[in-house]
Amino acid sequence: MRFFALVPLLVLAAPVLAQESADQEKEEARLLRKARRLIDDGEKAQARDELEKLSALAQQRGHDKNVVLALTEELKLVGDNKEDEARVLDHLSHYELRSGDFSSSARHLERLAELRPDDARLANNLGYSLHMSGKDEAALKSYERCIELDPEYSLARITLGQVARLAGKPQRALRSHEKLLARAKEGSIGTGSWFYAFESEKEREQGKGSTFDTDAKKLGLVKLQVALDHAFLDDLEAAEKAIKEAKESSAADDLAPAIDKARDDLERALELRPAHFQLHYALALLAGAKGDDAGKKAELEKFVEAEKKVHAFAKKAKDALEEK
Amino acid sequence: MRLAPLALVVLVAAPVLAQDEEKKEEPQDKDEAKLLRKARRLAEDGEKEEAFKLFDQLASQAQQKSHTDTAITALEEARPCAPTPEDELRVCRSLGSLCMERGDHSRCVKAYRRAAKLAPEDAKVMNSFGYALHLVGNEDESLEAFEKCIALDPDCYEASYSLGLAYRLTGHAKKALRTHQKLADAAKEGKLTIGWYFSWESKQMKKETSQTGANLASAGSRTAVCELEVAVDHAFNDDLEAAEDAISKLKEGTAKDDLDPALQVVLDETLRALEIRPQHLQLRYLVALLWDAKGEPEKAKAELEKFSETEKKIRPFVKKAREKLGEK
Repeated sequence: MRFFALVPLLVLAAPVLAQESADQEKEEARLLRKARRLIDDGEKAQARDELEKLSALAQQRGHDKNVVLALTEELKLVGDNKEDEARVLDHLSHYELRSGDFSSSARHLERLAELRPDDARLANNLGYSLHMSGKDEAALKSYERCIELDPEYSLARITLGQVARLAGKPQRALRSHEKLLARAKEGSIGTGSWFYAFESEKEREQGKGSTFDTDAKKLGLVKLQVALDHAFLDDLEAAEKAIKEAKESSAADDLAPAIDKARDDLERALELRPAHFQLHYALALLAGAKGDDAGKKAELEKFVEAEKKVHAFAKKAKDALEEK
Repeated sequence: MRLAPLALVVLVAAPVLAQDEEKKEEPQDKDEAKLLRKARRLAEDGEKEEAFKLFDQLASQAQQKSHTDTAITALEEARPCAPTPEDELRVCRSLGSLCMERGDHSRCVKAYRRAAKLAPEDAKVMNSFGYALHLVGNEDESLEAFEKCIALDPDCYEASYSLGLAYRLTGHAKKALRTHQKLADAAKEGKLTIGWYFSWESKQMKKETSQTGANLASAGSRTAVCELEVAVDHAFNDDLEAAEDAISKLKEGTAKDDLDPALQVVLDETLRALEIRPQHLQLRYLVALLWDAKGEPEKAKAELEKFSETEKKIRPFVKKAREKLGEK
């Protein structure tokens, strides 16, 4: 009954909500125009007041685009006041990150990191923005800086490993994840809840992402990341052992989000590099760990099939080497 | 003309270029500072047309003196003052090109995004926009822009080349193959008339050669590079046999002077791919074929050894997989 009652209510509410939203947009546009007029008239202090008003209002209403617009204008007015510049940049880069404008957030965070060089959170955010802008080498440096500032920053360590793996440095990824694993085994590896959005098309069809809100789940995540690093190093035996150990030492519910995340990592890597067939073996191991027998069989078949193609050329290579 | 070959170079180089450090700030001379202040005052007073003229003048002066930062600032501030859409487009194109040169990819995208909005039918703008997007890692939008460019001008061969590479790097090896095959056909018909220059990207090439890249000045070398790209696409499609055949035919039917620079380009590209994805085993075999075609048997042997070694490591797991699948 409640459901049926809700439907007409929503239908009635829809035009009212749309009107309210349009009015809010108009109000914000008016504020922006006013601020710009004040800037043109050289009334910078007043212009900043208007922009701050706009930014606060848009934040409250969840209008991220207008927050970014207001803060971008405000940034031009801060002059030589470093404190002000840092404060505006901090907000601006946060909203740019939320809006997915990673190249702009990277640019602003780079400047912010100059102003606040000892802030680990900023170094982490800069690393993420750089990674999402395709600048993995610079992202790695930023994550390293973050860990140097705060060795307990587990999230940065995990992401550092993931970025290193994708940049062709699986050895570095393994080192980073193993260090974290050693720490995790000794105690907690970080507070708060971690959420990873799925990146592969296949996993996105199943859900939004994985949440790691307990130490046991976070430990599972790190263990499986170590297993993936081994697989990327073509050490399938070590990968198999690591997955087996994770499965034996974790409750199924604790390991489940880590398996989903690891599968997403592999699926995404295979979307970008479908010829990296060794990853199908790792995917089969993960499917097996989750009790997905059909998935396991499908991945093993892909692995065997792909290797069959390569094997013929391995034979040819062997013959050529013997001739030489 | 400069942009077309440049766009190629940068796209090939994308994974590395995107990681390059930005250049240091350059000096701004007194005249430039004075001009900038004057233009800003005019803009603040609402004298936009006059302000635009001064910003424009400053940008040209600064460019002549290679003061790129000043030129970028002047163009950025000129844009909102532009009296006509044509003026704004010209400013955006110059701004995009300068930001690209400066390595400031996010500003470059913004400039070309605006240019693409002002001139949605301009293939060259679309090509530059696609390439800028690629540099900031926005592959999906980059592919769209290249596709639009080719739809507007099917003879924009630089965009076809870049599109093929972008397809390959984003895991669409079949689309890459189709794109490069068409391009190779156009090359054979003598349609690729402009010289192409490629900068080295792989560590190995940078270390081993004294040049900074390869110049494909002859039509024969450009045809060879397109055909080699087709071979590489075959390898990315796991069809090593087709790759081997294509390379072998090229070796037999192409003059050494044309084949050598093309082989260098494709080797550099494949070595770079291996630096980023060292476990892409099949590429080792491809690199061996390319070194062999170039007359470097020792290097070919080294790659074959690595290929065999890795395959040997994987074999026990294939056996295991087969057992699990119940095969004999």
